[in-house]
Amino acid sequence: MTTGGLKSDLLAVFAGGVDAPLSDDRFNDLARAVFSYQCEGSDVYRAFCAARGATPEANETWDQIPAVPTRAFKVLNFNAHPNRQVEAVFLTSGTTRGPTERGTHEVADLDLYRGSIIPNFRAHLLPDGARLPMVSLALPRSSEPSSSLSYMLQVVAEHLTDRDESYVDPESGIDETGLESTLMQHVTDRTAVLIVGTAFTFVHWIDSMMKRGLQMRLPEGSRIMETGGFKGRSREVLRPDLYAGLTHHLGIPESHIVNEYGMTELLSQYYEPVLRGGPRQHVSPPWLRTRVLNPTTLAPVPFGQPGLVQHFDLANLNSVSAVLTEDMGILTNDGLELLGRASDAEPRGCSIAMDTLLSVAQ
Amino acid sequence: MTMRILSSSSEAQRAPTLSALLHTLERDREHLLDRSVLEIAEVIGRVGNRFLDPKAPIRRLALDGLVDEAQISAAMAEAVLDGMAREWTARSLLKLLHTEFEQATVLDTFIGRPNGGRHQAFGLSPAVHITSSNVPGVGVTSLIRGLLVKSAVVLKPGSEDRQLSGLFLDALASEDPSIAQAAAVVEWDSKDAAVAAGLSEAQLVVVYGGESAIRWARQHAHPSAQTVVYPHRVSAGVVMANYKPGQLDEAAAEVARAVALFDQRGCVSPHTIYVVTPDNTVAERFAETVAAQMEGLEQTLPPGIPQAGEASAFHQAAGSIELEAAGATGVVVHGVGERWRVVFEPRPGFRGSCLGRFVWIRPVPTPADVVRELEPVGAQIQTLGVWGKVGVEALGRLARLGVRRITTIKRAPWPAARSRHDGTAPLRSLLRWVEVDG
Repeated sequence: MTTGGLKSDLLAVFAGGVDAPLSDDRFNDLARAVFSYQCEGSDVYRAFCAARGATPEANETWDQIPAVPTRAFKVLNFNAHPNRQVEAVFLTSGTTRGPTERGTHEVADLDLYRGSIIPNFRAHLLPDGARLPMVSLALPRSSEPSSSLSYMLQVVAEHLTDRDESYVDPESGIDETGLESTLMQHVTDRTAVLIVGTAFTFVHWIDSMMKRGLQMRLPEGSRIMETGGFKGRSREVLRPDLYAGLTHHLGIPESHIVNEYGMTELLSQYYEPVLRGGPRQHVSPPWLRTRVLNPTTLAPVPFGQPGLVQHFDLANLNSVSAVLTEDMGILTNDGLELLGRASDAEPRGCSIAMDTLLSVAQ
Repeated sequence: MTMRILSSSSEAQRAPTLSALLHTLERDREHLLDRSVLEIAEVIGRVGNRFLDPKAPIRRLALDGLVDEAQISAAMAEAVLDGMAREWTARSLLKLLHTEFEQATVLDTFIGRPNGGRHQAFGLSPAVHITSSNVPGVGVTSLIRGLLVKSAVVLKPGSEDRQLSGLFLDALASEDPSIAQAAAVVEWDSKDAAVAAGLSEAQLVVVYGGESAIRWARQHAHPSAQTVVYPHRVSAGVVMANYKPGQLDEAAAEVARAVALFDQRGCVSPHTIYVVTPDNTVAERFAETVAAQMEGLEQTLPPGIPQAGEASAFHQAAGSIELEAAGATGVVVHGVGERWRVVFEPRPGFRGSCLGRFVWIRPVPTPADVVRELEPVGAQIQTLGVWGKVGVEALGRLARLGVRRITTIKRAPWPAARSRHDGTAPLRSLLRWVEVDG
């Protein structure tokens, strides 16, 4: 299969939407082709896989393809064809050790990212076919060009919404006056609105509204997409409390608040299908598959059991598709139930000294 | 659950709070004060011997408990119990007493001081000892030290050390109730206000653990209480390649065992081994030999079941270094697909390990280079295991860096009872002295 052919095939799969079934055979065919492409272009990835006994010729199924750990994105650039120009470089969020510890995802072809974003977002945030104005509580791409989320929201704004405005500035934070004025206009006009943002920013805004006693009733059909967590942040808020706060201050019912689970290392996302009448678990598009693995052995766990989450994202054609995360989850009949980071519990041993040790050593 | 008493006298069992428990134990400590320290050491030593006796039912109970609670393999449980309990015998405890005190009876009565006057040592009491889970048996060792200095002791062991700690105190109670009744083994919820309030009544707080455990203890200990802390540390090793050059296999075996023991969770477990040689190929071959030993140990001293976070950290580190090795010249990773990694990395700088049997092997030309490599982290180094001799000058510089213990690689995992832990005298740090002039 030629690269152009493979790209076209993938884009066709994405364009088919999240409800078009992708059989196991077809997924495996595409996965093997993607794997072959990635091994062909990257000596490092090929050697890594060979050391683990995996080659494109020998592998039958996607789940046999060796996964790279997310932390490896901090030390290596995964570009399936390093001589090729990249269209964007996204950086992962910083760690407690500081921004120099950020990982890098070089995206050689944004067509694939766009192709993956649009049908998935449409299906989960706009399943009723609505075309809404978008109000963003995430930094715009102009301020944060290395943010994968900012790019994703830019694509959403350009292709799926009527109008979009961002009310977050890197220096001054949330422009509450502008934001609330815009939203109050929607209340007056009785026009629904889509609000997108990170959980952490929503929490700050809710705190502010609470102090000011501000409440509004946004029109029916308004909805929220929130994403991200609280790792490394000064506060942590339980999701039910966050949603209760959003409902109380904005009048948007919890049934219209959708959580998105994505990562800079992947170009496809998980959403909760609540606007489609589904339960509050995360579902992936057909071109993103997930395994849940025994943390010790990395063997698949029985269905319904917790384990380490590993993804295979076809959209990652030009980097690496198989990614081993540090998240724990459970695969259920309804989707992926996320349990949090594996490392969240206080570790045994001296490893807790590592952050201190390494920060001293640097 | 606020506090649950796992082992104690029947009266102490009824104490509803940590505060009440400390009061009860402090009262019952009177019996301990009248016993001679040498006698206490003999009694405790008899109990310690039972844990070493293959025929003693209590040893079987302890081993099964270690496998179950600490999630380590049966072979590891034997190795850990043998290593730890060796220091619970009368012989070891008497050596400890004689190492720390010219006359151990200073814990029993006033004795004369060389330049006039007399003094006597008393264990600060009541004492609370909070120990961590990374090495089972640390709780018992801490409890023994507290009883040797005749303190009333509440031991709160790590979550994987409870069974062994409770078993030891129960065994001591059956051997000699009047000693055992000055102690209790508990578990508690540190978020509970009653626990924090109780802690403020201790005269001494001993804490083994990470920053959050130490901060919590310091925050709630009374300002006038003595606090002895043993934070997380790391250890390293040095192999002098020109020391018995034909016997580097022996060094490799010792390195592998030191890494594998405790599944590398001990503060004595080496993260990085420096091979001192002008020839990198010697160090590279050494790494291969260590890898071969690790492969063998996976069968004879199998790893236990790590927690999810530990396992995740291992896979993240292993995958990352394999990718680096695939691209970088000179880095060689052994153990791909196994539950251990030995990484030969000819690059400067100290590398901490993700643990779980993941060790770095680095070549350096001279002992002075070892000192330079360790300089950024010297204050965190607990044990430096050495195969060969590093020389007086390097020893002096390592000591100034902050390294606390320099020993052979073979002895690195098993500090003697009389060793200073983190440079702190194990018994003297638990005392107050009373001086009488004239």
